Amino acid sequence: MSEISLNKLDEIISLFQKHGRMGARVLFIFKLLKERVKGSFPSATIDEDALNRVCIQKAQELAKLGVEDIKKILSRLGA
Amino acid sequence: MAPRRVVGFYTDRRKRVRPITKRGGHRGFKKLFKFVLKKTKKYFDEPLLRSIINSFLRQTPFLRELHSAFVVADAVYTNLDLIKESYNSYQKGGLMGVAKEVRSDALRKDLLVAIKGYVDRNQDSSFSILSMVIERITEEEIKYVRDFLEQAG
Repeated sequence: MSEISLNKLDEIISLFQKHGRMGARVLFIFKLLKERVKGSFPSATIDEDALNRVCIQKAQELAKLGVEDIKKILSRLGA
Repeated sequence: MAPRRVVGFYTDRRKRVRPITKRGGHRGFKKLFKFVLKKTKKYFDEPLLRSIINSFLRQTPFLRELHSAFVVADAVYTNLDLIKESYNSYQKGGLMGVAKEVRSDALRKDLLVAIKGYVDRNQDSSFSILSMVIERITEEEIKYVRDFLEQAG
């Protein structure tokens, strides 16, 4: 069974407290983007710094959208 | 196999006249062939990563995940007090008074209870994103996001 350090949990809680809803969204989207890029190209050599930069910038852009905006994009794509 | 091209003649010890052929013709070809077949490892730089992410944003499955990430992030933020309570109870519950780690299944269960009322459709997707972020995110990544948000104001 895996374990999560309480220190990590504490860091997440303090980030959310300090940066609010937007901070929570940026963190979740940042990690989602990173995981999906790495998962799609498991054997590739990825520049970690570049990946962090690109993902955080994109996460910040996307976090400004609302849930409804994403729904609209999805319905436009016919999903 | 094609004969090698004769570029001259010489006389050996037995006084026989022998042809001098051009060297390395086949080896050169083999070298070239080996080079072509050699597996190249692709290096992912910033422009390529940007275009990969932009292509994700045109795909319905990824947009669904993104939607779930929004819902979960908002639900976790809304229930931060409940999550803090769980955190405090973990801290007190460990050996010697303070625990350093918490079992991921216990934490996941508490988080799921906290946000259950906030995620209706796509529950499975929301819960898997929650587990992925909480379990796989590193302390360095949290610090990176925090520093970025502080600089961005």
